Amino acid sequence: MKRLKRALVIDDNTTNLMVLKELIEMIGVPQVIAETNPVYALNILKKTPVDCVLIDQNMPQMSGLELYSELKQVMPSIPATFMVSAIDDSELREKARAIGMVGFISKPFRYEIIERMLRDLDERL
Amino acid sequence: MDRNRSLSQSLWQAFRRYALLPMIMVELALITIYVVTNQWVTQQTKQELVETALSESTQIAKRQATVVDAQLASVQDQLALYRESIAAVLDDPRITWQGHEAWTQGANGQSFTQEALGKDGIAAFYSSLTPLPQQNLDRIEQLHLLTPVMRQMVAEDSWVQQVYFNTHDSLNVIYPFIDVGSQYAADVNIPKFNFFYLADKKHNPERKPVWTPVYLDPAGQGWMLSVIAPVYKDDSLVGVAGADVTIEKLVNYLTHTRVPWDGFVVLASQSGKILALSERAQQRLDITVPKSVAVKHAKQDEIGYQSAALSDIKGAEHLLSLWQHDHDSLEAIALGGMSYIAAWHPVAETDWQVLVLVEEEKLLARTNSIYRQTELLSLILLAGLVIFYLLYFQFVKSRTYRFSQRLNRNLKKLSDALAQTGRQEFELTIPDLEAPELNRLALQITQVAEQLRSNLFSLRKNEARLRFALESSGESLITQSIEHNRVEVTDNFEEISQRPERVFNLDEYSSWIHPDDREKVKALRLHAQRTKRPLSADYRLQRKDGSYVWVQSRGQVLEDEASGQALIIGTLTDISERKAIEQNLRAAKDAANEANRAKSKLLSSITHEIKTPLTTILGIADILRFKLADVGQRDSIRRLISAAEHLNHLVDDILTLSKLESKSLTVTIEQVVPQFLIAETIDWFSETLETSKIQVQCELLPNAIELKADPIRFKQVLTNLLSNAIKYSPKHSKVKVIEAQTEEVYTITVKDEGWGIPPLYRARLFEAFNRFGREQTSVEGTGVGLAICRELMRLMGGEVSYQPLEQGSAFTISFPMR
Repeated sequence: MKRLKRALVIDDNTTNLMVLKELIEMIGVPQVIAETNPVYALNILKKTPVDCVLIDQNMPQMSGLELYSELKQVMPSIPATFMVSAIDDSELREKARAIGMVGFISKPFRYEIIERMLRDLDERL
Repeated sequence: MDRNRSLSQSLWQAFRRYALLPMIMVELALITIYVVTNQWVTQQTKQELVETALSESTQIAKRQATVVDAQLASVQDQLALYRESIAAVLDDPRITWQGHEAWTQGANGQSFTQEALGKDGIAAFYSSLTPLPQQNLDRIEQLHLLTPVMRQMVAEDSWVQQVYFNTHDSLNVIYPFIDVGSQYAADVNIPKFNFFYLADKKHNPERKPVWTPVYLDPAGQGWMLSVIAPVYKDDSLVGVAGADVTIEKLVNYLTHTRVPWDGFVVLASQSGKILALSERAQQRLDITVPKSVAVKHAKQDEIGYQSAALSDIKGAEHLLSLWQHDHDSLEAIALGGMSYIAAWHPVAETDWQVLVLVEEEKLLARTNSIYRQTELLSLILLAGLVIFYLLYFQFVKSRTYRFSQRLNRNLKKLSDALAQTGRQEFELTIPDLEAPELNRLALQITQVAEQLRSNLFSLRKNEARLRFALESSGESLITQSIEHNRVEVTDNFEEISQRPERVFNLDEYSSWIHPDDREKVKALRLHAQRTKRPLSADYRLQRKDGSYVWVQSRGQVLEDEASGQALIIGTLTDISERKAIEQNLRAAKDAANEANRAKSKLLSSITHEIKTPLTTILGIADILRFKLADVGQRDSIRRLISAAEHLNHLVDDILTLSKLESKSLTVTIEQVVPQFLIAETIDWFSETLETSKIQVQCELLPNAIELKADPIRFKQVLTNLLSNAIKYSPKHSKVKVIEAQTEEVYTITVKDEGWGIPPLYRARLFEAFNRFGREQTSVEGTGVGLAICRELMRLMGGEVSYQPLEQGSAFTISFPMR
């Protein structure tokens, strides 16, 4: 990756969080921060600049959309954010796009798909 | 025409306006012409009469004036002769005083005749002013000789009363005899009397006989006038001869002159003093002319005397002024307030005027009476006409009245017949009417009644049929009148509501409607009234026992033509059974929907629950795919990935199918680039393809196009088609994905080189759970893929189709280009 140096991944499911972190690292992002707690993730984002965020939609504390809305309120500028969701329907995709997210990654995610999305983003950064 | 006016009034008015009025106008015009003509003729006649009267009067005036003239002239001639005789005998020396017994001396020195000198002789008087010795008695004797001349002058038919001779020495000889001794004063100065002065040189230089003005005779003879002539001897005036004419005779003559039209003659002096006027005329003119005045010592030397004058008569001034200018004329004048025709003529020798007056009224009496008669005749004519018209009007009015009575009588029979029809008594017997037209009308009414009866019969039949149909169906007829707050129902209503009445108050009826339904029913009713459209309402109606029954009310708003009110007429049906079934069905449906929702929810959560471990499996497998160096292990990983992918697709398909079945699947159409979606889909199959050694070849359009579709569903369709193609293709074969575009349609075709589909199954290719005999084969699948493809394509506005190939199959999805 040329510019995409640091990514933040948020998912309550620790296994899948780790799998996604490793896949993104394999794709070529040097630093991937993984966080299960959306509230902590918020704090991390306030302190640490990241190039890209991937948020799981289905979390018990706060949904992905809610977290992103929170982010928009507390941060002057938000890094490019992808939604990750096991439920893939057009309604949800539409909501994510409307709120300002740049992409949608459906679960189960595949290396090639994530790789193309991140490379596209890298080129646009 | 005034609609409130009765027939007879209208007829009468028309007759009055168009027949009687013009007739009266014409008649009036004729009468007017008659009256005017009559008046004109009368006027003409009057004028003619007046002219005739004037000329006649003139004639009379002229004639009478001439007669008077002639008489006076004759007197004057006789006097002239007497004068000559006196001149001849006076102072004739041959004739001397003979002495007479009658001659005596008075006590005061006067001498006079006591008796007439001789039979029917003269009287003589010598005033004491001439003393006895100077008295020339010869002269008496000389004058006595002339007695026959004097006698002739005072003849029977003569107007002359007295003839006399007076000398300047106060001798008076007079004929016929009068008692001069007692009548004259002893010292009477004779030349001072009897107009002696008129004869002197100063007053009468020509020595002609002259007429005196009229005077009142001192001897009691009444009004007189005299003619006197001087007698000269040797150019000296010795005396005056005179003749007295009493006017009485003249007046008698003139007043007895017959004047037509009851007119009369007036003799008047130029200055207006009236000399002669008949008694009748005096009365008529309201003036008195004295006949005689008993004045013994009248002053005979005074010319002026008081007499009746014309100027005393009102309106005479005009006549007098005319006399001054016009001595002989005629005029219509007004005297004493009456109209006269006046003609006058002067009398020669005197200043007299003979005036003939004819009363215009009398002159025109005849004409006026004729005119009055004609007028009376006109009036009688008019009155007759008026009476005739009144009678005629009355007659016509009574005829009109009778005619309209007759018509009314007949019309009443007809209207009775119509009223009978109205009471539905159709057996009409209209009695014979008084005109053929009316009889024809009666016949028509009878026929119409017959027609009505037959119509009513079929109407009743239909009504009975309808009622029967209604009753057997259990429906009640219901008629609602909102204006009258009234509801009418039929027999079946009792079965529905347990209420035996047939008529209710609308408010009462509305109170039986379930409170939850009441507003709805009211709104529907108003809506139907406003729009005039059919009405249908289901509501609960309270029965007598308090329980509710479901009814359906259907109706139509009708305008009652007679009263103009809106009625809602319709049926009321007991639908409680149907409602019960409906409620059961609804409950069942709600339960089913609930179950479906639960199933969808379950499936949704299962999906999530399955996808989470699948994510772990595929994620770790992907990591391992790159990390494992051993070929055998990598191959195992690929099989793992392939199986997991299959499981993933399966879960997606089941979820989709479930949504399709519950009709809860929605597609979100957005702008997509099909080439990206194709690449993404093929990516999913990378492990499977590597395992099966099948090659996927893409033949894409040189320029990527955009199109409207749901990207998830698009990929799902393509995944299914590719999955099938790969599944049913032998190893090392090729699968082609071909993109194509025309003006109308965009297509993606997936071709395989597999076994193809037998013709038997092609028709039911896109039905769910249909694997066409592959159920027992090793090829995994649920048989829902193509069915899902067809539904998803339909939802996106496109379609999917199948074309058999020589070797293998071709599935094409197409989108119309918009």
